[in-house]
Amino acid sequence: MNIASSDITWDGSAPLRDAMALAALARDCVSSGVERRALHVRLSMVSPKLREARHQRMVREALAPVLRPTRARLYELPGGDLVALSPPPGEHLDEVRASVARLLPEIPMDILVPVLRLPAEAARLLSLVEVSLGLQLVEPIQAEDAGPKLPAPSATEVEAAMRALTTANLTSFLRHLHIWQLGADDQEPQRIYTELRPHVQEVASVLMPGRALAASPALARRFRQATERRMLAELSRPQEARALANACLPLSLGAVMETEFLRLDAVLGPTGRARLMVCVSAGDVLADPGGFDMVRRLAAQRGWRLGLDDVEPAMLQLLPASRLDLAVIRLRFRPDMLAADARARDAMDAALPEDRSRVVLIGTDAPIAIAWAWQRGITRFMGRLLEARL
Amino acid sequence: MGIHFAGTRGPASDWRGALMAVPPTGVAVFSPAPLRHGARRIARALLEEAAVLGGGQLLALPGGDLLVVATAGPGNRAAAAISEVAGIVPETWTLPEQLPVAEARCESAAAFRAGAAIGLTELEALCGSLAIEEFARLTLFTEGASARPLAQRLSPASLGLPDPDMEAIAREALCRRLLSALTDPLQRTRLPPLRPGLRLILDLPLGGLANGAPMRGGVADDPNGPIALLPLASLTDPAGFAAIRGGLQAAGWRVGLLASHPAALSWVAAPGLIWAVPAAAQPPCVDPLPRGIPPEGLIVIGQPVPEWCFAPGIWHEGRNA
Repeated sequence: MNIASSDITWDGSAPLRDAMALAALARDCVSSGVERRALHVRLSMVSPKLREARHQRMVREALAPVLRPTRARLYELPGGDLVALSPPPGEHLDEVRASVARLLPEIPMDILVPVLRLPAEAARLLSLVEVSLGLQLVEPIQAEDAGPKLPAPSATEVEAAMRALTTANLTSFLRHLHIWQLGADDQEPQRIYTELRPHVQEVASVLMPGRALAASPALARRFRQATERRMLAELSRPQEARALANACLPLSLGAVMETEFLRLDAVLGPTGRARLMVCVSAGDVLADPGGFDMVRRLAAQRGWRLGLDDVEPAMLQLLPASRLDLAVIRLRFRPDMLAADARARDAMDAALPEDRSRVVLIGTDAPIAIAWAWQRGITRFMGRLLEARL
Repeated sequence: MGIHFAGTRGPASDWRGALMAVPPTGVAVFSPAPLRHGARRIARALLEEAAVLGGGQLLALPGGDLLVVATAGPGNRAAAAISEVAGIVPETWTLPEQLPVAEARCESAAAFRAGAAIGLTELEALCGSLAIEEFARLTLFTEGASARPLAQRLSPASLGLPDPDMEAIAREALCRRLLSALTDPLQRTRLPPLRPGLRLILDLPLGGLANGAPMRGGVADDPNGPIALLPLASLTDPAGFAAIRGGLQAAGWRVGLLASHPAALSWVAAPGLIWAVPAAAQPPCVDPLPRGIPPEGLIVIGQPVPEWCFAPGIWHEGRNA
């Protein structure tokens, strides 16, 4: 275990930190052309039946003599994989590989990946790191128990709920999440924006019990907008607005053209507006391009940032940054992005804004998402992985 | 310094007093009411700021027009911002020199508000109760400078609502009624009669020709097949859209996107699709397409038809449709 990573507890998990450091290092080798050799011992591949604590210990012991006098470093990945990295020529890594094979005859040889040469084989190393991360950390998706199917509310019911909203106190229904800055060289992630949004589903279930709002998309949109207006009315009270620093508001497009938002815009003043980020969904842009065109010019005129919220990879191809240039793209991480072939990866990279500080990767629930993002220069994140640190 | 919101003064004739009370070298800015409520609210917010910063006041005239009197700096800045953002061109007068012009304009302003807001329940009821004859429209299209129609579009009429979200809800409901009328022999006679020999352009709801037997348009992948227009919002679900598109093409339809604003044409990368957009004074500029015309075709909807639409390859409603 290298010293640098053992005394930093990034969310309490040194292997996580190691995996990220390794991914960053592989990337740096590519960009700077520095040569490294890597030995990847995929202990995570040992079948659970054969897995024993002594495996890792023995591999470490086999590695110890070669690591001590050289500048080699050992990285421990989530899942138990070990990666030793050394400057060239690195023959000693081949020796280690041979001795591990001798010490542990029961484990299959493919667990001992042949020594990789960086930067030429950086992509291979990265994908191995990603696999090791994924094995450990991609959580199984629980099928939601739908329960009895609830009926959609009628227009009359939704209108009554919208009237009730105008006097409701939404404080307990507001969700505060954060946008984090975490570059490959950063020791700690930094909070750069606080996202504020009302929990529309919860508000709906209180005001319309026994109804499934989602069953009627058109009514759900109206209700969401009414909930956002209520939140904006509260935020635009002078004392609230003063406290609103670096806020990210995901809003429906209609709400941005409503009195409550325009009031907040006025109350914030030029300084407050410069620290405000507003994101609308791609669906809203497609449903009302005229409104979005107007809001875009409003943002430019007033000095706040406008972005696209929750952009799925397929949507990014429809609204590429080369055609719709915005200050922020909140890209949704999907595990199948990792499996994309070279062509799909190139298409994705081409559709992202060149200035990657405009991209926020949302749904960052596993370290593998961060590794994926770093490979394309994305350093802004949202998700459970980062929120869990608090 | 806290910003206080200028109150909106009451009755209609207040504008006389306001115009008389202008600070020296002040201006009056008159912002005519746009159809969109969103645009009006933006104009109003910008004028309120001008009233606060320019020591004046904002008046809402009964027809929805807005009048602000303020010092020249904030007044002119607000007028410029409104025309930049909301696409409304406010009229600005220097006072007291142009007082008679300002008074005449306020005098002639509309006394009633057009395009009032409508609730969801009302809208639902309206869409259910409109007779087919009231909302079904058949529009003929010509290409380039030719006067001979080559296509006909069967679509629901726009209700002209000030909220695009509500307009979209109405379009969905009316498109579905249009489709069921097309497939029902009893109701079909109530639709405007289709012209034989002209290509059909049919407006479809978000889900396309959903539920049941697909309506055949012709031979699969026929370049001259009828055109199905799906609202741009149907791209929100790219996989769902691909399935609908595939189904329509297999049934002999060509597929087009209907956008409610031409700006979408330059933002959305949707190769292989026809586009239908409302007529705009300027041609849309889409790199790298020449003159912004999608290679599959561009259908320009509405009257009057601007001059650039008479170029070859653009379908439009004709000079005197």
